[in-house]
This record gives sequence, C-alpha cells and structure tokens, in this order.
Amino acid sequence: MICLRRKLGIALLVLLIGLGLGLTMVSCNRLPAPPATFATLSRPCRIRPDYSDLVIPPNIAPLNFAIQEPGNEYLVQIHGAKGRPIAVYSKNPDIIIPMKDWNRLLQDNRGDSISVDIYTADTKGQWTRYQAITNTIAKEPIDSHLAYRFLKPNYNYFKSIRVNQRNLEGFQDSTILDGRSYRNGCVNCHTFLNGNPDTMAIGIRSSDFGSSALIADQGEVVKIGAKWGYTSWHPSGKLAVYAVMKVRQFFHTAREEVRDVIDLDSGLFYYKLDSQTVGTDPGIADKERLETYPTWSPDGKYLYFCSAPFPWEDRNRMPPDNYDQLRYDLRRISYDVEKDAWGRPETILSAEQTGKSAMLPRISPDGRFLVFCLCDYGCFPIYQDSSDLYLMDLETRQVKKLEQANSDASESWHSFSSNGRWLAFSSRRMGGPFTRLFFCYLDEQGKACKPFLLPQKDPHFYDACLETFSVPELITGPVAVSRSRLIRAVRNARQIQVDATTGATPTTTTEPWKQQ
Amino acid sequence: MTEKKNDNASAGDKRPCRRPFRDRFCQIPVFTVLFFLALFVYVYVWIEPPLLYYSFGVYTDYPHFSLSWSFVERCLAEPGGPVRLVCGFLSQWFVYPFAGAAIIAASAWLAFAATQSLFREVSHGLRRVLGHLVALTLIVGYNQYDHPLAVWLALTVAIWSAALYQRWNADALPIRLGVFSIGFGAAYYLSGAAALLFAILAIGISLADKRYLSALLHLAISLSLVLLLGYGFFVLEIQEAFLRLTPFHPTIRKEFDPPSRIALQGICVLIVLAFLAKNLLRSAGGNHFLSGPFSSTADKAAAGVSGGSNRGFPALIKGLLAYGIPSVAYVLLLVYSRGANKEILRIHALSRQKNWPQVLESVRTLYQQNRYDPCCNFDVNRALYHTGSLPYEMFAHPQHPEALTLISIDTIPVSQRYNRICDLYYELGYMNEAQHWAAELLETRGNCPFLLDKLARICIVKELPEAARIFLNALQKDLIYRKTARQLLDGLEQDPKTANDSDMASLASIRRQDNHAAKDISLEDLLLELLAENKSNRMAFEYLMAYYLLNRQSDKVVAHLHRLKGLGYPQLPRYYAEAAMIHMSKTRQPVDLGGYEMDPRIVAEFQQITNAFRSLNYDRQQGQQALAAQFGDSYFYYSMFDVGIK
Repeated sequence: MICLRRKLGIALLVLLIGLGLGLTMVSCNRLPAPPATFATLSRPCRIRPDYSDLVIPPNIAPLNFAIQEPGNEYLVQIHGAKGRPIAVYSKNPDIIIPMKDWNRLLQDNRGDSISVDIYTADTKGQWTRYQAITNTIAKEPIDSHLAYRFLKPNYNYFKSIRVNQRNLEGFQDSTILDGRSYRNGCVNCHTFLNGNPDTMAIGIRSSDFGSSALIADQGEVVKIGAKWGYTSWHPSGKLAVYAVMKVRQFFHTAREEVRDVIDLDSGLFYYKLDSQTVGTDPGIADKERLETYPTWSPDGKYLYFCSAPFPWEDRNRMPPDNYDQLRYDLRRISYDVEKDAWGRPETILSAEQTGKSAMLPRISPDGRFLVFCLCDYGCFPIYQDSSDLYLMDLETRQVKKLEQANSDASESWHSFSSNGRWLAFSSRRMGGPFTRLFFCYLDEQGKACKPFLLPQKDPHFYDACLETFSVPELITGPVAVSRSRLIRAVRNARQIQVDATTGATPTTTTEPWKQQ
Repeated sequence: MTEKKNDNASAGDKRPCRRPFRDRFCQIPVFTVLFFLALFVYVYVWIEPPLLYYSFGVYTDYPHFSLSWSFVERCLAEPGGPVRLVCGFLSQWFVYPFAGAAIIAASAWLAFAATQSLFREVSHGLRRVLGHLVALTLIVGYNQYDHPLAVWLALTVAIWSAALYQRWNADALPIRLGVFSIGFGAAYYLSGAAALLFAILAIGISLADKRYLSALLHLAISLSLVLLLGYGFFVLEIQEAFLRLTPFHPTIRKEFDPPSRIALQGICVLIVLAFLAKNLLRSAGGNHFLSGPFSSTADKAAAGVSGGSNRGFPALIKGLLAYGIPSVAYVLLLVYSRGANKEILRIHALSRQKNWPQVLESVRTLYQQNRYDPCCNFDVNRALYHTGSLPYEMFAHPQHPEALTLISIDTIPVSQRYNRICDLYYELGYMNEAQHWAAELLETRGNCPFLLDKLARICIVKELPEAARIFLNALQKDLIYRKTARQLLDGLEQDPKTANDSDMASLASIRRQDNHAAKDISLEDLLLELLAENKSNRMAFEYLMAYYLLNRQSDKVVAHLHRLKGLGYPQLPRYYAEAAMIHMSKTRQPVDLGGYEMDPRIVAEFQQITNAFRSLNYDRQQGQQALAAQFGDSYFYYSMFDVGIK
C-alpha cells in the first residue's frame, strides 16, 4: 500500500514538473502577436553579438543574440517578404530563435532580406520598439561544415589542443582530433583536398608518439613519419606541398600581444602519395630565402607561396637580429603534375611594393581572387594587430584591402567556401588574445560585406570562452574518418618512413617543447 | 544485534526484520560515533582543510569544478568523470574549515560503511577495526597534504558495488552475470578502473562458493568491459583504461607522497585479502574464527552467550582488546603518518590571502622546526616588502640569494615556482611576463580560479577590459571566487581602467610600457630596466637592493642610494646604511648617502661587531657562532660570514 502511494506520488510529481516545464516553454518562447501599443525609438537596438546589416547564408544556424537594453520583457519578430514570421518572447534578454522556423524563413527569403523588430517592455509594461535590423540573405549557401583549431592562448606548453568540426547549419560541434588522446600532444595544420571532408591531412606533434602527419582518405588513415607544417593539397590529390619550418617563439615586454613567432629557417617540400616519397625544388626551398604558406591555384598549375630573404646572419639566435624587418613577398611557381616538373618562381607582390609582409595566400575556387594578409613584419599574422585581409584580382593583379572585413585587431587564417562566395577567417576584434571566427560574403567583384561571428546556441557563449578559434577551413560535409581511428593511427608505431629532406633548406632540429 | 539479525536473515529468511526505533537507536555503535567525531575534530584542528584548498593547483592537482554545463558535459563524457565531478564539487568547500572537515570525515565514513556492508558476516568487532583502518587511510593521505579524494570516492563506489552485489545473491548464473555486467559497466563509468576492485571482490564471492566457472566468467566479463568501454568506446590507452582512478596509476607516483600512495594501495590489497579470507573461512565453516577477540557484546548476545561472562577481568581484557588497543594504534598511526608540509602550506595559504603579517608570524614555526624552504623564503621576502620591512628585517630570516625570485632554482616543481614568479612579475609591473606564466599555468594546470583571477587583473592593468571580462565571466562559474568576479565586473563597468581597485590602479602607474623583444637577461638587468622605465617602482628598487645585499655587493647598494629620496623613504633604511658602512670601511672613502644622515646606532653596531670579531682573532667559524645571537639579523653579520642558505 505504501509502495503504491509512493509510486502514485512520484507519478504525480513527474506530471506536475512536466506540466510546469511545458507551460514555462509556451509562456517564455512564443507570443503570436506584437504589443498593440508601443513607443518607437529611432535607433537600432543594441544586441550582442552584433548581427545587424549583414549578408548571411541561407543555410546558417539561427543567429541567437542577447538584447543589451534595459527591460523586463522582450519580444522579437523576424520576418521577410515571404514565409511565416518568427516571434520570440522572453522574460530575459537572451533571444533563442527556433531552428526550424529560422531555416524555413531563410529558405523562403533567399536572395531577399529579413527584418528583425525588437520590442522591450519596462516594469510598468510599457513597450518600446526599436528601429528594425535588416539582414540580407544571400542566394549562395555556405559550406555545411567548418573545421577549426580550438585551444587556449598557449605559449610554450600545451595540454589540450583540439581540431573540431562545426555544423554551420546547426549547433552540433564535435572533435576531429584531441591532443589529450595522445598524452597532450599537439594537433595542427588540418588541410582538406578541395574542401572535401573525405580527404584530409593533419599535423601531429607529440613527445611520446613523435611528429608525423596523418592522411585520412575515404575513412582510411595513414601516418607519415615527417613533420608537416602549413600544407596544401594539389587539386589532383596526387601530392601535398608542406612547409618545414624552424619555428621559434619569443615574447614582447609591453605590447598587447605578448607572443611573437619567427621562422629562423623554412622551405617547402612535397609528398607524392603514389610513390610515398618527398621532394623539393630550389624554387620553393631556396637556401638564401625563407618560404612558407603554400597554396595551389585551383587548376593545379601554380603553387603560390610566401618568400623572404633572411634579414639576419645568425640563423640560431633568438630573437634574431632585425626580426621586425622580415617581410615576405607573394610568389608563385608553375608545376606540371604529370611530369613532376617545377618552373621558375616569380614574384607577384613584393614586400618592397607594400612595405609589409604578405602572408597566407588563398585562392578562390574559380581562380579569380587571391586573398592574403598584410602585416607589418614577420610570418605569423595572428599575433600582429596590423594584420588585415587584402584581395588580389588575379586577372588584373589589382590589390585592395577588404575594408568591411577588417578591424583594428588582427585578421588572418581565411578560407574560401566551395562556391567562392563566403570567406571564413579569424579575428581578434572581440578583445585580448581571444581569436574568434567570422564569416563574410564576397560578391562577384570581390567586395566584402560586414562579417558576422560564428553563431552559437547560447548568445553568451563567447563571454566566458577561454579558448581561441583559429585556422577555419570550410568543408562540404562532416569529416568521414572517426576520431578513434585517427587517435589509434597516432598511437600506432607503424608509419610510412619517407625520404629525408633533400637538404635544400635545413629542417627543424629541435621541437620547441623539448627545449623547455 | 542488527548485524546478527540481518546475518540470520541472509542465511535463511531474506526478509529484513523491522525493529522499533528505540532498539535501533540503542544499537548505535558508540565507539564508531566517537571515532568519526574524533576524526572530524582531528581534520578540523590539525589538518585544517583551507590549507589543502590553497594548495590545489600549486602543490597538488587542482580538482576542477565549474558551474557551467559544458564542464559537466566534459566530465560526464569519460569513465571516472562523474566521480571527478563530485570530487571537484566537494573540494571547493575545503576553503571553509568546518565544511572541509565534514566532507573528509563523511567520505571516510562512506568507505567505512561500505566495508561494514561488505564484511557483514564477520564479527562486529573485527569488521569495525577493518572499517576504521579503511577510514584512516584517507586521513593518512590528508596527513601528507595530498588530495586523494577522487581515488577515494572511486574506491568507495567499487566497495559499495561489491557489497550490493554480494547482498543480491541470485542462483542462476546467467542472471548473476547479467547483473554483474550492468553493475560493473556502471561502476566503471562512475569510478573508472577502480571498478576493478569490485570485479575482484565479485570473483572472490564466486571462488568462495566454489563456482569456478562463474569466477572465470566474471573475470572475462570485467576485462572485456574494460577493453570495450575504456579502450574501445572512450578510446583510452590500455594503461589508462586499466588504471584510471586507482592508486596504482603512474601519475599517483608523482602526485602523492609515498605514505599516501602506499596506504591507498595497501588498503585495496587488504580489503581483497580480508574478503577472500572471510569467504574462504565461511565456506570452510570457520565462522567461529571470525568472531574472535574483537567480537562485541552484540555478537555474543546474538550468539546466545550470557552477559555474565563479560564481567570481571576477562571483560576488561576484552574491552582493552576491542577498544583500547585499536584506539592507541589509531593515534599512533595518525601521529606517525603526519607529513612535514603543514607550515609550508600555511605560509603559502597566507601569502595567497595577502595576509603578510601572519606570513611573518607563521614562518617562526618553520624555523623552530629547523627547516628551510626556498618558496617560504620567497613568500617571506614578499611579506617583508609589503609590510615595508624588507630593508630592515630581511636578514632576520634565512636567505638564499636565488630565492628572491626563484627563477634559477629549477629543483622546485614548476607549478610552485611559476605561480610565485607570476605574482612577482605582476607586482613588479611586468605584466607581459606575468601574463606569459599565468597563461602557461592555465594551460597545464587547468582553469584554476586563482589563475583566472590573476589573468583578469593583468588584463585590467593592461587596459584590456574586454579580455578581462572573459576571464571574469569564466571566474564567475567558480563556487568560491564568483563573488570576487562579480565585484571586479561591477568595478569594470564603473571604471574600465582600474575596476575601482586601488591595487590595480597603483600597478597601472608602474606598468611596463616600453616594448621590445624580451631577451634572456639577468635579474639585475631586468630590475634596472624596470627602474629606468619608472623611477617610482618601489618594489623593483627594493628587490634590486635586496639582490645586491644578498650577493654582498655593497658598492652597488651605495651606487643606488640616490634613488631613495625620489621613492619617499623617511630615513636611510637599516641594511642600506650597514652596506654603506661596509663600503666606507672597504674603500676608506666617504659615501654619498643620497641626502640622508647615517644613524649613529649603525655606526656603533659596526664598531661593536668589528671589535668583537677582532677579539676573536678574525676566526670566522668561531665568530659566526659567537656573534650570531647579538648580530645575526644584521647585514654586517651576513656580509662577514658565510651564512646564506646554499
């Protein structure tokens, strides 16, 4: 009898909780109609993140935001010329937009715009409406997924470095590879073949399992016994070019960004998948120059890269003399994939012309635009506040700054979507050492629109996020290979032993963490 | 009586026998209640849980806990994560002595109760002693100022699982194996590889019942599940899959002192051996042996032995055996397992709280124990600086020249050293270097609240309010620091440059502003750089002078006396005056005292010590001993004799 009563009691309690939750959800999230009377303000409402005056992809996840105006109640109406409007009512300033309604509204208004009407009510129940926020929905979608590096602003020591993937059409985020899985190793330089998630190269550094590169192709993983830096796949998938750098870190005494990075020496090498051999060429590994950041033209006929003469004599001294005089040119070199023959390097933008260091060239899939960074000096733009994104029209060689995309802080690590209309990049504009990911639309003339922050389900996600997001790579779907397979490949002693480098440029001899 | 009745019930009728509350109340084991009460008092008074709290992340691994869903999700996504989560939550309360002592005592009691349940067929007395020994193991760990709570809770889960499994005694093998599989899987998820203790005990039950096939299958299931869950599903390394959260894990060797580690490993072995012995004896019909000299009145009464037999001399002996000897043994165990770190941790905790006068007070206890610790030396020098007595009392404390900054003493564990170095750079106004080391520690030690607090303050001083807010928002999710975070966030709203904090305002005024690539330079050069940038950096000045004093460079002390006026010293500080006297004596030249008068008492003291030394024929060994009492705290003495710590 007692047991029966207890069971009934529990059932009643569960029922009540369910009812309460249901009622709360109904009362908090939806209100079909805007208030009948309200005052009007002729300025837009302050919201965080700033999701106003944007061009957004038709397949992006809801741009949830927090209203930064005083109020007791909040109502947001999102509507376009077509489709059913969305109304979100909340007792708190966090606006969580229902996913399905959002997706439908965006698809209905593709190529058009949507308006966001925001109402707030004070303690007396008086409503105020702000000037509407308008966002344009592009016709072209963004690639569905984004692979990125997720780590704290590290210095010499690292314990938890991850490469994650995020579904941009929703909020699902998962780990591709976590350095903690192999005794706090490092994971870096993830690169995909033509934005295809099925073929990926990823760099590994580990004091226990060695430095290597993993190549994941159609679910299979092989481990290459060589350390790969910045990598670019040849569009044919037959080879990958990578940088080998003697990379070193040093610190500044008083500037905002404490860290700085310099390559004491570097060169480019390439790995041929069929023969499992490594090669290089004096044109990409000149003993008298530093070469880095390779990227292929979409037709595979040219390799673009950054190159600079050594401004210092002593290649071991840290920090090197004249480190702030190190400025890279943009160069390219022709390549015949069938004959495995390299041409002669040509400078397409010299540091002498710009007075700055050109970094991270990336070419749009249609081969028309080359987007790169220009910063005051050096090889690591993310640590340079002066780093901004520039665009070169490869037909005319005209260079222009992507004004709308840039800020006072560092912009870098950009990546094109497969349709060439979207650019993902890292920016420090939100403060301090915390790099965040932004997206901007590039029109057919190469004009960038106002960028927007990678949306999160919780509008306050970034407020307490101690990790940085960097190296965003847009990919057309989720990574095919499983995390466990990648981890086991790292831990596995079996690896492809490649030829030693040709010696055109000295390779890295000591790992930074071994120096500690 | 309770245990006996339950024993009877388990042997035959399995229905529990309900007794009136008064009866049950009367059966509360007084000795056990007293034992745990004493244990609580001991932890509260002797161990002082706040010392443990402040040692987290510096002397021991930080038991992380955060009021964020992402943190909880991360914890729940790995085997042993739930126990770590609970441990993290409980550990935060160690900042309060009462709560900390209660948590430790309750954790010990949980394991005690688990042991009682596991050994329920054994006589009350023997069972009680075993339970007390188990409980004391935790205290042995805390006596060393280790923090074995996570391993302890994991082992407790395993023992409880075994006890419950033992109670639930199905005859059908498939059902038994099914229940074991589910139970072991759950225990493995909750407590990591500590669940293997449960598996071993379960195998023991089968072995005792001579069900060898069952034992073999239990072994096979547990190993398979570890491989399947740990290695397969959670993708752990084999070693990690089989050792996580057990006292046999390789990191335990680094993390815990030998007494804690051996005690934890030993108690696992003891439980297994005792359990096997119990089961083997039971199956051999040796129950009478288990109710030996430690059996209680309750056991006897239940066995039908008259109470009269307990009267007189035999009862006294039995009482002595049952209570006196264990009590003495417990006290001896506690006394002899006490670690030597308590005073060091107290000084560290007081430094963290910036209770500088108490730091100087507490260090006396360390000296009474004739002990020296470079980290305490460092803390004492900071305390002396903050109380304005560095140039007056520095040599009243044992000094190691390298302990001024600890930078060159690489025998000190990284977290102990760099936490302090980070604080020093911060107070010297060298924010970038403080940020560098705080960030290194944040990466390697995790999101410790004191590091988040430090990084937020660094960002405020560097006028990076947005970055400071991110650190403070993260800090708000800490149970203990959330109030501090809220205050600083509110302060930032009102004043983004200083957050309405006077300390940060004064640090902003001395913050290093001249940017260039940092190079490996000596401490002297660094302090000179800081002073060149900002003449009013008093700490840089006093540390520079301390550096010169410690290295017996009186000429350099004299060379910087001209800075005193600008820094507002009302008089020539004692040690600087003594150094000037020594310099004058060496060079026989007058010294520019920077506009100050030489205190006649210093001159008199100089004459006294030189005369006394002369009277000892300049015998250094004899002089050092004879003059220590009178001049031991003077720079004269330090300068004359080889007294620095090496």
